[in-house]
Amino acid sequence: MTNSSNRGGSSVSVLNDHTGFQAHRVLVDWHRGDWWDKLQARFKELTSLPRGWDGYAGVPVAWDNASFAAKLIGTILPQNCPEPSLVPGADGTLQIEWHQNSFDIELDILGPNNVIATRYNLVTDETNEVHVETDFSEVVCWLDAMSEAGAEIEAA
Amino acid sequence: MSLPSFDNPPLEEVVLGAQFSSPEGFNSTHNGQVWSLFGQEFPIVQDQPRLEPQFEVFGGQSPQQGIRLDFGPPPLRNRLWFVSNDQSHLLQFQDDRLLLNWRKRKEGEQYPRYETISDKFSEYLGRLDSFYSSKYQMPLRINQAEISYINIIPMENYREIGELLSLVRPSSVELEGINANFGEVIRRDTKPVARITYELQSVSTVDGRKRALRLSLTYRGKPLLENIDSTLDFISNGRDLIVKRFCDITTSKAHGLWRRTS
Repeated sequence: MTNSSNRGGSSVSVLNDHTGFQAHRVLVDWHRGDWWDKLQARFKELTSLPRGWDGYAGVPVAWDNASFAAKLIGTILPQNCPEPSLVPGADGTLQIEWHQNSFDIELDILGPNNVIATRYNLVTDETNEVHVETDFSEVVCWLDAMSEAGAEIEAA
Repeated sequence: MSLPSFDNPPLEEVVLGAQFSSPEGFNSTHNGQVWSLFGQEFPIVQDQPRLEPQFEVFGGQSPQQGIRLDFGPPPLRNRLWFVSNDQSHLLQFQDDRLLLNWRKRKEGEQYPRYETISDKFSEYLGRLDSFYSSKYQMPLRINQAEISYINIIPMENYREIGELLSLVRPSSVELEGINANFGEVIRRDTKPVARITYELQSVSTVDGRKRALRLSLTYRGKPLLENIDSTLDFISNGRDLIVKRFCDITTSKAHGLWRRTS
């Protein structure tokens, strides 16, 4: 394997294996905040749940679903986004949730590229729901609005 | 309109890949059965660390700075390399991935051309699809596909980079090394469908005597449908774009060096 980036490039290349050329790069991950470590622990917990964890026939969160959720959190969350909660589904699905600043936002990860996103505005009683495969632009707008509402509450 | 073509491209490696749902019931003992599907063309087997799942998603504000969540060990299954006798072709398999690499083994070796590699990949995907369908009653449900072109461009002094690449043109900067990623979202009818990642990286031999620039272009995303035909369409579109973009980001001087024919 090459020492290529995990950021989406040619991680499947095997070139260094035979050309003798070596990369000059050291990868350093940046850190989002205190809640990041907790989130990692929570992912680990949810993918390791015992069968029947809910008292019935619940299965642990599927690896594919957890991986996709982690990718989402790592790439679409605005910098000032509050900490999400992770809630397991009995069928191996997973929800990423925020309940704050007068908004309920839930991303129901039914599978990779198969997400039901809902937003409930507690002030206006308005509900939005979209099915998302790859383009999370609308969800990012929701998260921005929630984060900005939090900043306004803090400033008031 | 025909694609640009070169008699002597700096191409060192081409990778075609598909990622799919892991079938329930798969375990490591089944790897031998998978190898038996490909053993005639790929008699050499090597264990490799497992690849992490890759998903292209869109809408984030800084996708290049995406951070990674590690939450413990992945499933206890390896990736296997099935290698051809001449080592030029390599099939990478794990229960949720199949990738075909062509790699240049020696100077002067001819690139077998995309159509040849794509036909092989199609055939190998078909074999795996039949195996999954009969053993797990689940055809391949492909959720991501990708194609990468990796070029090695010899370059003793990185000041010369602007002479060959129009993407980066340092004027008076004495570059010691280069590590840069660029992302481009590809849209169809304003809807994002794939991402091209451009990677520029200075590389050198272990003894430091030879230096070069590695230029990788990767096109990745979710095919329109989960089946093999849709995946091959996606990869073919990616190949066309990669070839066009490669010409866009390299100079006419470079095209002369690599003997552009169309």
